[in-house]
Amino acid sequence: MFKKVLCNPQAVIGLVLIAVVLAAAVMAPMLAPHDPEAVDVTRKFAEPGKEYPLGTDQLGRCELSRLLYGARYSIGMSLPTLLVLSVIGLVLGCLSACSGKAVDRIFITVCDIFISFPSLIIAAAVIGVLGNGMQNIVIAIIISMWAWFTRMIRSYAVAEMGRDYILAARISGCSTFQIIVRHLIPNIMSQFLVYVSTGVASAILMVSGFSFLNLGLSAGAAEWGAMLNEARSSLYSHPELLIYPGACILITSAGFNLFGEALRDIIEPEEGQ
Amino acid sequence: MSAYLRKRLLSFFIVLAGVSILSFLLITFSNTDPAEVIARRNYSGATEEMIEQVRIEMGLDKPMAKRYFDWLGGLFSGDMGISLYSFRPIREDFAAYFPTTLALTGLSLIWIVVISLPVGLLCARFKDGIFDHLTRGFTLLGICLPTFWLGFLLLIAFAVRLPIFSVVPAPGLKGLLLPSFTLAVPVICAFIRLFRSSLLGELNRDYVVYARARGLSPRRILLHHVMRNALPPIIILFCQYLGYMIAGGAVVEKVFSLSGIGSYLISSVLAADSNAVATCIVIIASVFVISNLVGDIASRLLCPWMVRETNV
Repeated sequence: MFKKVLCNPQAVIGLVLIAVVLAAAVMAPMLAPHDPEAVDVTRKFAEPGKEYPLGTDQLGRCELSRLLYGARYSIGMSLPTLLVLSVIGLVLGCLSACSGKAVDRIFITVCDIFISFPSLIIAAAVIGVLGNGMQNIVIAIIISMWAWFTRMIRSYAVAEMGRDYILAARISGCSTFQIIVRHLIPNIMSQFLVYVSTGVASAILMVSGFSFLNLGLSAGAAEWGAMLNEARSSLYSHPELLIYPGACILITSAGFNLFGEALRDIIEPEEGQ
Repeated sequence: MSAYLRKRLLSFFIVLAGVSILSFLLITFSNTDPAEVIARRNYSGATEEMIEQVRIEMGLDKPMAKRYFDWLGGLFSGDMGISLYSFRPIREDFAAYFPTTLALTGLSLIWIVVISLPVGLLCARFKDGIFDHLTRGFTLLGICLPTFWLGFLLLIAFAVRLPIFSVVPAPGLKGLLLPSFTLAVPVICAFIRLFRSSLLGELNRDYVVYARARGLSPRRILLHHVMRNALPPIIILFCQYLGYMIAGGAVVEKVFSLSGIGSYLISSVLAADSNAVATCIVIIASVFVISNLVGDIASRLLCPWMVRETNV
């Protein structure tokens, strides 16, 4: 499995991109030449040079430092979100697949109701009620995506529950709990990982989209979406300030998407060909 | 079919009821007290008694279930209450913002159909050719793109460098070309990928071998036999995206300085206007539920022989 991943060029490119962004997030304080929040109005829109490798923004803040710290927001919010989503999805999805028809129906209906609200609407509602804050963005993404995760994992689990080995396990006296933990989850793990990987990409796009709309983060945060929003006014004079943050978002989400897709090709070779 | 329809309609109404209840609960859970906001606007230095009186006048002291049905009845009769921020009837705001959203979404849907269907067919017809590989790369890029960034890139390219369009929205169709294209790109990419794999899945079926044995040309098989069977997943996804595009339009509207329902929703959230937020939410979610129903039924009508796991 691991060797197959290393032999797949798409997976390697994805992993490299993920590693670069992770490194930027972890080592931001060491790599950044300046404090990302340090305002110096006398040096606004400085040209790229030795001191400011990518120049400065409209408040004289170092663009490169802000981009590096921005990785912390994206990674720092999307990875915990996905962790919580994975747990919720696995627990509810497997329960729904293994319980009786009536319970299953209730699960599906509740999921359908939550899926009917576009993620932006849920973010708007959660932040409207709970107020600004990083943890509220995370809560908003969890509320908007848990139903997708549950439904997806349920469909994997339902397909797997029809297999003979589950029947064999049941005949040999396994309890439902044992079947879920020892047989079902290990067997849907690979499909699940593919879904999680592409899920990280969509969570990153959501985070930046929300902060672009001023939802959730306080003004001046060095988040890529928020930086794009602030750079809007310099569309004519300094379009490069609009290009950098978007490129960072693209690299990050492309990394997770490329990796996830390659993983899918490795796991299910016939599909997508 | 009728058994399917009954079940599908039942779940439709249950989901719709759930959606409206959740949206209504949002008003009650929000931090703003409508009675207080309105009392403070009408009387400077409103006392507790005045607030209480406004609460009774507005019927906010009634039990929750009664208020829910009043609110629901209001929605159906077109009386959506007043905005807690502008103090105008929400219906007027909707009438002002809705045409932009409708035009934006409609134009995006045209882009989607016109681009993704032919490209998907070409990819499936010439699988593993240069065009197919290029498309695969571009569509992968397209689903990773943040829409707002794409919007800015288009603005930089076509409004700043080559002044074909203006940054401030031009009236009429021309002003909507770039925004609708921006909104459509991620959807187009998702569609091409799904349509291609759906077509390729159908091409492996036995009836294709039979049609080929009968001497039909590959083009004819693709256009007349395979395409029809490959459409249902696309139709279902198409209808799912409809609801999302109305809300997702908020981002695009902000980039291109348009004012539609999406940006109205965001400005209502930022102004803590729970009445307007709940109305926006229930309407957008209902559009989603209804278009989903239409999609499911349409794909059933198109391919009645397909027994699919539609979760019904």
